[in-house]
Amino acid sequence: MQEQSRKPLSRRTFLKTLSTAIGGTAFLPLLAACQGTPPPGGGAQAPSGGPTATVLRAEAGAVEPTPAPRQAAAGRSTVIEVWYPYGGADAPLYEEYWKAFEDENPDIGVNAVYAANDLSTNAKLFTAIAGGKPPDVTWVDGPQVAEWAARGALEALDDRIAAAGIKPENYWSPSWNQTVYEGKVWSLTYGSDPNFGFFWNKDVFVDAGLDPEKPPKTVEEMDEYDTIIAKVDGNRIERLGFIPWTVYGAANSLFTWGWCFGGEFYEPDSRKITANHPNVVKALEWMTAYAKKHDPTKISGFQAGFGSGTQHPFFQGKTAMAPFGPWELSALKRYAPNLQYGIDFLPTGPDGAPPKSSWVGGWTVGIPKGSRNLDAAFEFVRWISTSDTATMIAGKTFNQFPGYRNSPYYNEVQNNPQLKAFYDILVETKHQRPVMPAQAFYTGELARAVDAAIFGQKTPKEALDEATVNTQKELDRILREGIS
Amino acid sequence: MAKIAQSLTGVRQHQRSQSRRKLYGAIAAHIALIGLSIVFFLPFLWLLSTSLKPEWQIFTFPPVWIPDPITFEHYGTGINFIPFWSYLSNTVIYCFFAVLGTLISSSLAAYSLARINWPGRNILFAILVAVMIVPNQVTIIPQFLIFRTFGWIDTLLPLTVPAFFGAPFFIFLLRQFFMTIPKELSEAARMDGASEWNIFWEVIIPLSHPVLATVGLFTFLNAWNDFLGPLVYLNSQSNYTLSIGLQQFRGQYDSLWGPLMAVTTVMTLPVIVAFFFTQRLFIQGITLTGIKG
Amino acid sequence: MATPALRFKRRGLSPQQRRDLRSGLLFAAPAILGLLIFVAYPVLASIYFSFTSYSILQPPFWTGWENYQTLLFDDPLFYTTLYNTFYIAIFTIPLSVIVAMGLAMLLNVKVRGQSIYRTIFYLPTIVPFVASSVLWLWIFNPQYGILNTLLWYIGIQGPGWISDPSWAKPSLIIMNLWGVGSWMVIYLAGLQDTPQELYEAAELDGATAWQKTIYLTLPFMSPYILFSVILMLIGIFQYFTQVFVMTNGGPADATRVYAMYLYQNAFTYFKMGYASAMAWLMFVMVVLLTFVIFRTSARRVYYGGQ
Repeated sequence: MQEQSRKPLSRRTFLKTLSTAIGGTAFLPLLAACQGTPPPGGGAQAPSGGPTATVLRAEAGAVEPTPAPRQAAAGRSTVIEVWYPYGGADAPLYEEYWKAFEDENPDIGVNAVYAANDLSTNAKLFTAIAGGKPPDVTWVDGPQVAEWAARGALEALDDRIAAAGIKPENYWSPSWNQTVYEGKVWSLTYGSDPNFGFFWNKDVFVDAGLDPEKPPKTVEEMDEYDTIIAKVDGNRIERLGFIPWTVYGAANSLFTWGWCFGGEFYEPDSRKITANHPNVVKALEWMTAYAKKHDPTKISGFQAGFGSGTQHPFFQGKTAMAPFGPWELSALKRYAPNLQYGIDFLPTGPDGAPPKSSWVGGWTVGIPKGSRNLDAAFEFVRWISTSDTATMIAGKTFNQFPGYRNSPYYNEVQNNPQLKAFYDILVETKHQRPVMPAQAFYTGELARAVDAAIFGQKTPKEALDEATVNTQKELDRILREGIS
Repeated sequence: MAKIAQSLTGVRQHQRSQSRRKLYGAIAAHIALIGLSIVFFLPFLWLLSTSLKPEWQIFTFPPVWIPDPITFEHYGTGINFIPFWSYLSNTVIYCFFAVLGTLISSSLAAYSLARINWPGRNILFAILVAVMIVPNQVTIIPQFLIFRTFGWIDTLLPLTVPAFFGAPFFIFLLRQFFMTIPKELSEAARMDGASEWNIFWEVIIPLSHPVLATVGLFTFLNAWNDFLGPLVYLNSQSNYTLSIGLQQFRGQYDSLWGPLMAVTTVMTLPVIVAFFFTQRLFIQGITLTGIKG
Repeated sequence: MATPALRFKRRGLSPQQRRDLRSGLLFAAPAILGLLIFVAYPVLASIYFSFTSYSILQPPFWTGWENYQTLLFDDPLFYTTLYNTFYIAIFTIPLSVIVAMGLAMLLNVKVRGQSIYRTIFYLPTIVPFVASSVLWLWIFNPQYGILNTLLWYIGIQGPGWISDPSWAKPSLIIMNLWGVGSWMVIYLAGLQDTPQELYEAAELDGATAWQKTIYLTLPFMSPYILFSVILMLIGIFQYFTQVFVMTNGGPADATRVYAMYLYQNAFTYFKMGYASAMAWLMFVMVVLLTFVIFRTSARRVYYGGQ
């Protein structure tokens, strides 16, 4: 290829020639841009083919307008306000929950407000609580429970849970554990995400000359497969085996591979951060070696054409292997209907690391401090987490495994091979992300460490040492100041 | 005679070479200006071109410069992805009240500083100038907490209400301009029994249209472009302005470049159009206000 | 009658002065209120917060110098963000002055069509930062972006730009240079203010264009340059939107700038006290740097008629 002869541009040459380079472009009609805006919503024309076009168009269809706030049914004596974090295509489906809850609880109405789970939302919730106008119920991401509890943002639920006869053993243990902080229970788990199923694209395997029915069993094998699958055209990456740091963000990637390599992230009894656990370091070293193999900036160039979720390169056959959660099953069915794939346990890490590694993520539902309808609010929390109706909706409508083990949904799962694969993963799982009040900070630090290591700015050991020290300091500060 | 003739031809030659030099200079200037214009304008063309391309042409290499066929589908998708009209109306409300509030409060204060001779005005002026270098970040947290006590979080009020309490930079600009209006005009009005308000409203304001237009335009642009304010104060999507809506759109659909570019175009175009119509006034205003200080 | 006269004397105000004081205060009242509510109180409050630990949900409690100590001696990320901010400032400011001055001088040449050129150069500054950030993200796209395409046409394999840690800051600087329009207009106003007689005299003496630039234009423009440099400095310390939209601080912290870290501490980690301390350190740095610039430039800045 022509590009192979091209020399990479160094910063120095670039700065030297900045001024001349600026002028050397082709002339284009200047006023072309002033023709005015096309009418909004103007006529759509079909794209004239191209393999990616269908996929991208399908994705475009995935995105739907933001839901308007939902008003409770008329004539209810108590109305609770519920904040939920799902926008996009899933949002309209939530009506099923509100409706079913109102049907089963004739006295309680639900006002549902979509509140995206991003930086601004925590601010929104916290100011609402501090301002004395919190919602009655809010979804809380699993790893945030301890932090919100420590900050005094949640009501403890122990008495009500005991009264309702809910027991720890009703839940998948990591999902129960993530809701317990300082001996109290602060929320009930809504969904247990078996993180992750290892997906491989059979078509790409065939194309690369691999056996489509034999996924890699170890991380070493995964690396070998990558070498066979990767297609690099000059300086342009066309296809990769996988990208180790795109497992739902850099921090979740490190959790996934860190545990896979036999590492640990937190020592709860001594309250010690252990991001620099030798096996976590090993996992990051492996990710870094992968980055070096393909050149991290080339990979980020490759990645820049893709995104997360349905824009993940796996959906377009551009990566052949990826850890995914069960919710991707319906996304794959919808947006990449022809993609042939298999699901298995994650490959096993090196040097006697435990096989079938996975961890449990997922959301919980809790009551913000200051809710004025505690009884109705708890009824909703209990209902969404444990009732047959709600857990069946979770499973059937959202491919969401309930945190509640006794849900009838788990009988259905047995008959579906894809879901069964995830069920098997869930049964094996022992890990959840650390339950401690500096989790958001920790996540940020882990992401920074991954970034610094794969771009070669620090060794994996240095990067993780730093993350450990910083997070420990932050955790100690929060514990010392005794925020709760 | 001969000497004079000689020197005349010399002058003529000199003039000729000088005008030739001027011609070359003009050509060189044009070439440079056109070249640089292309550099500065190219991003806009790239924006427009991407927004009008069919999806598959966006991800081709080498790229297609002129979309074929031209398609408006991204505008439809982009605008339907987000509650575009609600973002737009929030933005317009924000801009309207910001401009209105700033013009009223800042011109009143500037009048007081420039045209009324009261003890303490120099101190006030000095404070205003000093305040200009206090970074946003120093005040934003306590301001956030103030508005929280008012219960104004997640409304447009924290963005619009402060405009009615004067903006130091614009007070400064307006004051500089009001100072240049001859004292005699207000003295004459005062002789006729006009109150300060009459003088302000009937003498000073009518003479200050260019600077008021400048301040209005700057305020409009600041509000239209404001990002940090809406980011900090607005939480519900129904209250979002365009700038924060676009950022959210980018966060969620980070590789849907077509719709992203379409929405960006839609957000950019009004300011470009506004600028085309007012640019003379705009640049005149900047010159007028004597930023020399 | 004696009492009011006495009072006037004591306060030293004539009836006219009293009227002036009253109407002066009345006209300035909104602004004075604004200063008190939106500046004075927040400034004092943020000084207080900077000595506390404050997470919004609980009332602040006094921790003394702890925030400052942690920032200065125990927070490597603080220095990383400071370094990134200075890096961007050190390249952006001089390059912006050069580019803006160059454009202004070109626009000051008497040829036709200047208002069109002026509009084009100015246009980028009125585009919302969020919009231009999204646009530049696409321009910088390593695989499909216009920049690497143009480089490819001339036979260069372009870098990863904004997604490459060693190129991310230069990328932001390039983007900043695209937006020099407002400084350009200010310089242009200055250029049109410079006394033409001096140029004519210099031309008669046979001065070259270069000599005229160095010995006439630059001295006359020096107050404008000083003014713009200080404003740019203040602006760069607050540099936030572009980074927030484009990179969120990555890759590998290469674009994590000061204002961004401050925002993160305040509104992601709810460390309001810590963030307030950062804001005050920033203010102190801006004031010190402004002072240094004034001092070092005192002899080189020429104010007409002095």
